[in-house]
Amino acid sequence: MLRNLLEDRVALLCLAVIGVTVLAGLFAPYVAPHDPLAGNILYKFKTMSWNYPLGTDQQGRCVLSRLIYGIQPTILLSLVTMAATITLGAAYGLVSGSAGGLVDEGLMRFCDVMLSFPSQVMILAVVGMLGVGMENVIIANILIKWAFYARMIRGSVLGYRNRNYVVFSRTTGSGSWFILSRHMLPAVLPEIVVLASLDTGWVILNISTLSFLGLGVQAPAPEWGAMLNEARQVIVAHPGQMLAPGLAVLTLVAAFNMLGDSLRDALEIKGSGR
Amino acid sequence: MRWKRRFCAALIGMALCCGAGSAQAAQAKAADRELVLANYRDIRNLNPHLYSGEIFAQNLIFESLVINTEKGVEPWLAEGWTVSDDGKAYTFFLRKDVLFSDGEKFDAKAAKLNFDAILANGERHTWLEMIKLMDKVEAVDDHTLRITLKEPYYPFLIEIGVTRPFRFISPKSMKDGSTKDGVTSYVGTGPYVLADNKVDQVATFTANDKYWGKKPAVKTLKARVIPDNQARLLALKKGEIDLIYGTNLLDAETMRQMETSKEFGTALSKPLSTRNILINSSRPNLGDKRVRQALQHLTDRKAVSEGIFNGIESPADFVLAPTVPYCNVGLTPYAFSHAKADALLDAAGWKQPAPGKPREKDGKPLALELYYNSNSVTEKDISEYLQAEFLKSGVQLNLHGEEEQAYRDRMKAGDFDIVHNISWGTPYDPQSFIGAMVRTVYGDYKAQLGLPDKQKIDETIRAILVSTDPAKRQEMFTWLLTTLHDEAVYLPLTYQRNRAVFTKDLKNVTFNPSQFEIPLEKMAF
Repeated sequence: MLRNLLEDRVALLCLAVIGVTVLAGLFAPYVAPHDPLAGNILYKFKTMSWNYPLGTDQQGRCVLSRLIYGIQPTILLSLVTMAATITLGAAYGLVSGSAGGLVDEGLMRFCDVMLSFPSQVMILAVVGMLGVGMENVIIANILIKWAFYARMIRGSVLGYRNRNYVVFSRTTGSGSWFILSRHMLPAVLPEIVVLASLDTGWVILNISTLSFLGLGVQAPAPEWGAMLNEARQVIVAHPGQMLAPGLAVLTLVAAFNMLGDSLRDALEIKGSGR
Repeated sequence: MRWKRRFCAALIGMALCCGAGSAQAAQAKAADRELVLANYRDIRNLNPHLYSGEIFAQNLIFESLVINTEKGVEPWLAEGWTVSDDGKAYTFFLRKDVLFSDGEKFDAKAAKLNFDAILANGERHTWLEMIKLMDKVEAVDDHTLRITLKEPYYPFLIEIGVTRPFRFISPKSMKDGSTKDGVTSYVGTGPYVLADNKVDQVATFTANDKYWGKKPAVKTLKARVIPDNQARLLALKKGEIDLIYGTNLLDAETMRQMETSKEFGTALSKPLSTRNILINSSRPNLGDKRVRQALQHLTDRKAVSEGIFNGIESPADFVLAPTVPYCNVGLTPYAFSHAKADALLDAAGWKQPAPGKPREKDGKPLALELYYNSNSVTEKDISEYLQAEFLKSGVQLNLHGEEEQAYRDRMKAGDFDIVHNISWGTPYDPQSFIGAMVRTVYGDYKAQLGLPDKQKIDETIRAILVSTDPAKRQEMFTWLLTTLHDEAVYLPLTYQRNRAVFTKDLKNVTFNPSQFEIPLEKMAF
């Protein structure tokens, strides 16, 4: 499986892009040329130079440094969100799929209720109720998205439930926890990974969107969506300001999406329902 | 070949015809071309005796007895006036040729009805000390109106001339002779009438054919609602609108770009008022004068002027410029100095645990809530600049942008640590600006409540407004301005200038003395 992936150049490129970005984000203080919050108002809207590789923004702050520091809230929080969502969804799906019967029926109907809400609108509503801020954006994302994963994973669990080795394990008296953790989880794990990597792009976009709308990361903290919003305020006078954060989001989301596709091919998941 | 030549001739002929036609059309077009301006919100309630309408729209429809010009107070609906020797009685001689746009006559009776309606709603006009001093309004004859005050009030004529509340609406529009519960229509004597308003979209004004004065060149005016700054500019570039006008609607970068453009013109007024930050002395962290003074020392007004306004607005050292009457009182500006600020904050007991971290006292951080008007195109930039600058000395600012009405309500409620503010500008400064400090009008009253001298401040302001001796008045102004400066409640930033960007075809884009008005009636294509 890994070999398949390593032969795929696109996947390698995507992995490289994501890897470099995450590393840059983790070591932002060492990589960034300037303090992302320190500006010199007299040097606002400067174009590229050796000192400011991507120019400066409306407060005279280094755009490159802000972009690098912006990785942390953008990607790392997206990864956290994704991990939490998928853990919750997987647990729910596993329990529901293995239990079957009335329990399954009940759990899935609840899932249906959650899925019937349009997700963007619900996220806005939840953030509206909880208040503006990054934690609330993450909570809202998890609350809204987990049901989708629960349903997907329950679907694949159903496919494995009546496999011979599972039936055998059950007849020899293995406990349900044992079956869940030793048989079911490893079987559906590849699918979980693909789902996660495919949707990380979506989460990044979503967090950036909310920050763009002013609901997520608050000024002056650097975040790509928030930077785009600041650039939007001067789109007529300085259209170039949109380029850096816009391209950064584009590249990263594309990398995650293409990596997800490659992973799916590499794992040869059939009929995964997407 | 012949058919070719003929064809060419025909083509040229057609082109000529078209050309001639379009030249004629262009002339006709200039005459009845409508002027479209962009505003960030609806014109709302235009009742001239209340304060919730857009001033530029109220000015188009309603007029006052006198007007404030560069040269001072001049006659308008009143041809002239006399003042009694004791300064208490003003007699106005009204024009005889004025009609409301619904055909009603404007005479002393109609004027008295309007004054009665305003006085019946006295609580709403708290900013006007004058309302409390008004004794009686009489129609002496058809065209003579006498207003008697309980005490002489020196800014009387100026305040009678500002946009609201002393403008005249047709008695037919009143509800049982009153306006405080709303009016049935917006009918005045002004150069334009309101033809139609699609709420939150566009308001249409047409020239008033019964107008007594010089008829405006532009027959139809449209005020389109475009809340977003960039959308407004794009609309201007595409030719959907002709004019953007106002202190808060145009940022310095746009002005710089438009100045060099061939298709658009720009205009800048003289400095009209003072952009400042109001510091709430009744808040726990800001009760200490030293903290407020430290904030003054932390503000680099030159950087704000150069960096944010590209030098369009000059740095302000005082909340009322020395050029304002009675305000040249020889104060020392607060110099920009982190060292001075640090010393003051240390003395006040706020210690900084580490560089870049907020100062602390009794385990609590020195964090201040700053509110700004998110409809303004520059307040956010100023706020972010101050946030970075203040944190260097360990003062943390948390920024909150709010839509204009919410922001104003918050000021009135006093629910802020610091907030963006403006002085009222000519012709309101200094009298109306200080008059509004003795009661809740904007944030001033609540912000000053923490001052030990608040009571004396209020008494002095009241005494100033009814003083008759200019020398005594100056003495009181000197004490008042010195105290306010020393207590550091107002943090002046720049002297604000009004500005406009418009299509090159538009002529006569000028400024009134008041920053809130737009002289649309003077503009022409």
